[in-house]
Amino acid sequence: MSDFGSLLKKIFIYEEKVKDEGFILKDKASSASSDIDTIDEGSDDNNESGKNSKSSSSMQRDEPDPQKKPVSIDIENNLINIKKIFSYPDNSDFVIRKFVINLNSKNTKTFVVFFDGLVDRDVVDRDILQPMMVMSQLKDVQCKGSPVNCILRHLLPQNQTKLYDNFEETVDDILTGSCAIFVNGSSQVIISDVKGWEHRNVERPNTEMVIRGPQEGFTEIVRINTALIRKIVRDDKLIAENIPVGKRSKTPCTIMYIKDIANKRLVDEVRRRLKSLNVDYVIDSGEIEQLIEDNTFLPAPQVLATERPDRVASLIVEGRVAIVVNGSPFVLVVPVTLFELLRSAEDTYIRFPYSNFVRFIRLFGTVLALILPALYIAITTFHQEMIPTDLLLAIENSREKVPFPSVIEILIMELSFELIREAGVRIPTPIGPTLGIIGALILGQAAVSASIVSPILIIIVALTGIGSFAIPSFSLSFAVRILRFIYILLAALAGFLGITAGLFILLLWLASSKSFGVRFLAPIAPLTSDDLTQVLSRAPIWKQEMRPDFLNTFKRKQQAYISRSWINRGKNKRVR
Amino acid sequence: MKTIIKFGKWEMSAILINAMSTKVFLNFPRTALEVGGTAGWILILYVTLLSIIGFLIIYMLYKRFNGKDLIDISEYLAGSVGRIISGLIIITVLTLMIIVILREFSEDMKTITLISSPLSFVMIFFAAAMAVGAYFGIEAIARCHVIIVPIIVAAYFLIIVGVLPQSDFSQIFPLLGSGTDKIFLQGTVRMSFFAELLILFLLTSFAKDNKTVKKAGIISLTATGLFFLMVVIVYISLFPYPSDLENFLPLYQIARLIDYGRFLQRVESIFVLIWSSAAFLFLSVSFYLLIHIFTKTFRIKHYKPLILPFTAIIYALSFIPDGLPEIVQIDAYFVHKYFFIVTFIFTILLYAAANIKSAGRRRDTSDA
Repeated sequence: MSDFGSLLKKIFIYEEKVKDEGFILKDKASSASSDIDTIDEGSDDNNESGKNSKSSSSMQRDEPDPQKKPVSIDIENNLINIKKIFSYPDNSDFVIRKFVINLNSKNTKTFVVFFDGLVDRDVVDRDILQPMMVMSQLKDVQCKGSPVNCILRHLLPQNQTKLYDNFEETVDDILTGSCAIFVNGSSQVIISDVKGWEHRNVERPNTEMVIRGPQEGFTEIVRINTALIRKIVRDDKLIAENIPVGKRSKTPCTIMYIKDIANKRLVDEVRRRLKSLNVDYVIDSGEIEQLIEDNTFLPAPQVLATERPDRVASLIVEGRVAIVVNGSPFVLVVPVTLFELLRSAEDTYIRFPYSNFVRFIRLFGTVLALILPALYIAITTFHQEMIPTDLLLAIENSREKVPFPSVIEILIMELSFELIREAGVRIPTPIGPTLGIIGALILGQAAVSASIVSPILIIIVALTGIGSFAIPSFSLSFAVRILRFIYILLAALAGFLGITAGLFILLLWLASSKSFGVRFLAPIAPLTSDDLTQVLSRAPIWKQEMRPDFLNTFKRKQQAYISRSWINRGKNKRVR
Repeated sequence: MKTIIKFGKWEMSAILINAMSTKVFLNFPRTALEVGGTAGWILILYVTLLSIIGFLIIYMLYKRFNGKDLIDISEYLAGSVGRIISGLIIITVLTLMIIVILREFSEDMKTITLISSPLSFVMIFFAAAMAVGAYFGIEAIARCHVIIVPIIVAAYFLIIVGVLPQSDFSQIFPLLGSGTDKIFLQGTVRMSFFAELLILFLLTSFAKDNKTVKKAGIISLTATGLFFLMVVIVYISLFPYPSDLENFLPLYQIARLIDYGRFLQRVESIFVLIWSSAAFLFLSVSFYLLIHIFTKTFRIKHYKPLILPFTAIIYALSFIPDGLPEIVQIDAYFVHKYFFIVTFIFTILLYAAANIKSAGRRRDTSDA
C-alpha cells in the first residue's frame, strides 16, 4: 500500500531533481582540494584530510625526484623507489617479482621488474627467472666482485644486457620493454632486453603499391624498420643512430645514413633538429615531420614520408638521411625536392622508356589536378574565343539549363568530390560500396539530370580527381587539392591573368623554400646541369653516374662511367 | 649573418633577356618600323651591334671594380653626395620603367581579355605579383627566371614559326626603308631598346665573378637582338607596311594569325599566359632593384618594410598618364628613346671617372 502511495506521490507531486554529479573539473589539483573542503564544510575529519593533503603535497614538493636517485646498494631502498616511480600497485600491468638466488653460498635478495605485455613472458621465465632461481641453487656459484657481474657471467643466458647505475635510464628501458634485475649488495642494475609486445607483421605497403619491385612495407617497430633498410643497403658504413624524441615519451627514433656518402653537415643538422625538440610526447612520424620541416605554411611537403624500405634505401644511397620513428610505418627522408616527390619507387625498376612514359603521365596528371578546373573557368568566362565553334556550341548546349555560373557549379562539384573522398577514408569497409553508389549516381547522373551541373563539368571534375590520384606523394596530393580551389577563384576573378599570377607567386614561394638546406626546386633552380636529365625524365640506368649535385655528398660518383663493362669487349677501354 | 647571394651566367642572362625583351610583347615592333620603315630590321641589327660595343666598353672600364655596382662606384667617386645623386637618377629611371610596363600591360590586358573589369582591378594583379616578387627577394626571382624564360622563349618561337607560312618576305622592300640617315643617324638613340641593360650594372654585386657579367651581357644582348630581329622581320612580312604602323600590340596580332589546323585556330589567349609571365618577371626584378637601390642610397637596413609603401606609390603613379595612347607615347618616344643616356653614357662616364681616380691613386701610392 505504501508503494502505491509513493507512486501516487511521484506522479502528482513535483520534486526538484537532486544533483548527484558533484564533480567539477578544476584547472589545478590544489583548487580541487580546496573545493572539496568547501563542499564538505562542517566535517572536522574532512578538514583534517584537506590539511593532510596540503601538507602531503608540500612534502611531495620537497622530496627529490625518485628518478634522479642513483641505484642503492640496499635492495629495499631500490624497491621503495621503483614502487614510487611506477605508482605500484596502482599500475596493474607493472610486475615486481621477488626471489632469492644463491651466490657465493649465500642467499641474495633479488627482484625483477617489467611491464606485462611489453615483454616476452616466455623469455622472462625461461631465460631470466629459471636460470637465476633454479641454476643458482643447483650449482654453487662462486665469484669475486660485484654480484651483478657474477650473475651476468654465470647465470644469465641473454644476448642483450646492459648495466645502469641510475634510475633514469633504467626507467626508460623498462618503458621500452626491458626487464630490470635488482640484486642486493650491488649499486648497479641489470637491464635485459626482452621486448615482446604485440605488433603487425611486415605486410604490403598500403599507399605506395607497385607492380614491379619489392612488396614489403614498414611496420610500427623501429628495429624491424631499420632491419628492413639494412637488409637492402648492406653497407658497413650504414649508420643507424638512436635519438629518443619526446621529454616524457622518449619515442625511439633512428637516423640512418651512409657515413662516407651523406654530407656530414646534413647529418649534423638532422641530429640537431631532432635533439632540440622540446615536446612531451611524439606518437607518429607525421608529428616529427611537422616539427622539423623548414616552412610550416608552404603547401608542399618538405620531408618525404614513405612506407617502402626500398625507396628509403635508394634515397639513402644517394646521400640522404632517413628518420625512422617507433610507432610509425612511415619513414621520413630528408632533404627532398619537388621533383623527388613526383617520383615513384617503381620508376627505377621499370625500363627506361616505360619509366619516362609514366613520369610524363604523372606530371600531366599533376597539372590537370592543379589547374584544369581553373582553366575551364577561365576559358568559359573570359576566353571563349579559344574554344572551337563546335565545342563551344556543345558546351553551351549542355550548360543551357544550369542555373549557376560556372564558378559556382565547379565549386559545388569540387567540394562534393572532396567530401566523398574524405568520407571514403573514414567509412567502414562493409558500407564502402554505398559511398560509391552515392557518389556515382547522386552526384553524377542525378545532378546532371536535375540540371544542377552540366555533363562537361562532371568530366572536368573526374579528370581532376584522377589526376590527383596519379600524384605519388600523399602530402603533395593534399597541396594540389588545396591550391586547386585558389586557382579556381583566381580564374573566376581574372581568367588566365589570375591563373598566371597565382602560378607565378607559387613558383616564387617554392623557389625561395628549402628542405634541410637544399633548394626545393633543385636541380632546376638553382640550375645544376648534371642533374637536369633526372628532373622530369629519367636517364637510362647506365647513364646515372653521379649522385645529385645539390646533395653535396662526399662521393658524387655512384657508378663507373661505363657501368656495363661488357660493352667494351675487344675494344680499348674508355677512361674518364 | 647576411646570406651572400650569387648567381651564375644563366640566371643573370635570363633576367636580362626578359628585362630587355618584354617590350616585344608591347608596341616595340611598331616603333622599330616607325623609325626605320621597312628597314626596321636593319635598325635592330645596327643598334644591337652598337649596344654590344657599348657594353664591351663599359665592361672594359668595369673590370677593375669587380662586384661594384653603379651606387658603389658613385660613392667611390664622390662620397655620399655622389651616391645619393646616382641613386636618385637610377631610382627615377627604374620607377619610370616600372610605371610604363605596369600601366601598358594592364591597359593591354584589359583591352584584350578583361574588357569589363576596371583598370585598377587588372593592375592589382600585376602590382601584387611585383610586390610578392620583391618580398621573396632577388634569389627567388632569379630562380624563377631560369624556369619561366625558356618557356616564354619557346612560346615566342612557336608563334613565329606558326605564322611563317603566311609570311611574304617581299614586303621587306624597299630594303633601306626610311633611309640611311634615319636608320644610322637618328636611329642611334634607339640603343635605348636595350636600356634595361642598366639592370646588369645594378646586379654586379650578385654576380659570381667578372666573367659572369661579361658572358651574361653578351649572351643577353645577342639573344635579345635576335628576338627583336625575328619579330620585326616577321611583322613586316605579315602585314602591309601602312597596317604595320596601325596595329595595336603587334605580337598579339601576329599570334592571332596562327592556324595549326581546324581545331587550333585561336590560341592567342595562351599568349596571355606567356605575356603576363614576362611582365611579372620584369616587374618583380625591377621593383626589387628599385627598393634595393633606395635602401643602398639612403643606407636603410631592411628593405621589406618598404615593399608595401613603394607598391602603393608605383600603383598610384601608374594612373597619372591619361590613357593607353599617352603611356605608349611615353614608352616609345621617351623611355626607349632617351634612356640610353643613363644605361650607356652615364655608366661609361661613371666607370671611366672611377678608373681615372683609381689610376691617380695608384700613381700617388707608387710616387710615395
